[in-house]
Amino acid sequence: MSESTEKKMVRLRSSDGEVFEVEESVAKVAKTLQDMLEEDCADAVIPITCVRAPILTKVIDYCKDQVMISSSSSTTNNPNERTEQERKAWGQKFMEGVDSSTLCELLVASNFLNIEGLLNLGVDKMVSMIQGKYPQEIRDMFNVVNDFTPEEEEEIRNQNAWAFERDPYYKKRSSSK
Amino acid sequence: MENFIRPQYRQDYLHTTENSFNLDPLYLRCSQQGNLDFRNKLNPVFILYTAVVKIQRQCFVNGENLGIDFFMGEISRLVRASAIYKEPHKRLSPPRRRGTGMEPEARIEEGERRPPELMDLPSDVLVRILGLLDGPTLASATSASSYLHSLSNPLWRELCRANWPSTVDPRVSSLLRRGFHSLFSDAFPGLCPLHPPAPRPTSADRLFSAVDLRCGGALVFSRVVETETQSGWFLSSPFRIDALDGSELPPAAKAASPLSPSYKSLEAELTLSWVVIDPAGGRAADFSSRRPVSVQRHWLTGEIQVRFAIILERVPAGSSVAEPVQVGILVTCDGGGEDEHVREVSLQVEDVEGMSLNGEDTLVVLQDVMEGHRRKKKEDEEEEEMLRYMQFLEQKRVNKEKKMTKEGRLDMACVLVGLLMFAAFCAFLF
Repeated sequence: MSESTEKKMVRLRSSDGEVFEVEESVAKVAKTLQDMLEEDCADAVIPITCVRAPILTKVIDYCKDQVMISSSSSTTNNPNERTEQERKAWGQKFMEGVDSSTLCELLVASNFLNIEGLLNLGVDKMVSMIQGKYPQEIRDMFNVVNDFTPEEEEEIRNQNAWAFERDPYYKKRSSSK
Repeated sequence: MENFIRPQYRQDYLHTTENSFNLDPLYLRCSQQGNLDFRNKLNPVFILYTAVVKIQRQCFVNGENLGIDFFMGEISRLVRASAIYKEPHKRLSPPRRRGTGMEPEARIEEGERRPPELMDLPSDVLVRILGLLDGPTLASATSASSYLHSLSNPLWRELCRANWPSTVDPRVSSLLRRGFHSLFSDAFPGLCPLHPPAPRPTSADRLFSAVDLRCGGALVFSRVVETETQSGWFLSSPFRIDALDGSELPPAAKAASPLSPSYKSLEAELTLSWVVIDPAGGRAADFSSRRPVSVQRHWLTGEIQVRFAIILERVPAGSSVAEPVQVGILVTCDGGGEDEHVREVSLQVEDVEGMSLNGEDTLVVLQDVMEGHRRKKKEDEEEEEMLRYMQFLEQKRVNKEKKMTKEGRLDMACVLVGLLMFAAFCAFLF
């Protein structure tokens, strides 16, 4: 895997028509693209129809970093190039400032492109965003529609009453009754 | 489409449909049409195929009858996904937007497909996210919408199994009429010792105890015990459930820090849960204090006795004042050497006089608590439990002293009467 043979470029087109040119090794971080490239069924430009340009930029950033890690560890023969802690800190920094809708798009993209590492990062971030929230806060945060009938909601509320004791929204409703 | 995931329909499917899908015709159709090509990942037939494969895998791994729930969720996602794919500009159901609705609206106007939101994530990603949440947050998340709720069943089961490994026992899942969600919300939160007396449910003919003992995170002992509760012998003799008696091969509980005196380190490392399930009432509760309240070495045999206890209340028959009772779990370990072997694990209930309650009274106490209210555990829960235990011990000591002085007085009175009689007898003689 010397530098000279590694120059093959791949072009990716996002859903809004922007074309990105990346090295093949970077594209191959995504399993879906790797399969495509290996079976040689990729056209000149690979359309990625469910990912918008800003998200694809972020994904490519991640892939570039992965390639950097693996190449540096293979050349210097030092697999502990980045310790577990550093990786964690890097992941946190990568996900810093990502809002909920971008995060959802990132998750869809990493799931579609089959990038396990990015998917894990996104899932962890999502978990940290949801942790400790009450139902109404989760609905507000992610535009989730409450499609329970009032009776169903009451039943679920009762079953989870222990968890919602300090839910301000719940208190308001039960006191207004 | 929404009807697919309405609970009442789901229930019907759960009861009438078997979990055996024949994959071959579907696979055949997909491959005949050339749709199994990965480039057609968004082809609905392909999505359906992968959904079925995923469910089959889940069914095989867990070997349980919960796959159809998951399947219905997956199907409704498929319908939604394919509709969005075909008509990117049309929204299926305009979500009620709260707060600042500006940003998403602006994006729609750009003529782009609606950006994916939490509900548009593939269900396996959603399940992964929900699976990493803790109990209270999972309860909130699955109360947010019926779709999330429909995904939650297997997750509650996993959560129960992580908390109480003994619930893997197939008997447990057959006992639970209302599923693992109900078990978790019964057994995980804190119990309320004070509660209004509820109408007595029909008394259980059997009780099941799911017992898990951990030492420093490693599972030492995990078992489901069945107790028959109808015989006259059970009802009138002192209540006692043995999860482990001395007759079996004892599991080892190795103290992790060899430097400190081993039995002291047990206090910090042992945790126990004792979930009692009442199949008739469909309720359950965890009667262990999780951490030991005391660890002692027996002065004669050298055995280590680890005690877990919670203090509950009961209203004795013919009285209107509640009195505390202690649900105590005693774990006896072999002393000496580097390994401690657990010999006995048993549960008993005693009142403030130090007397063991009989089976009938105990059933009343246990069932009252199981039917009672639950509350979220606080951070200083264990200290509070400990405080209550100390108060109980103190009260027990005071009661004992009272009894002693009372008995002492009675003794004195008897002696005096005896002396008087003797004196009178002497006076009569001489």
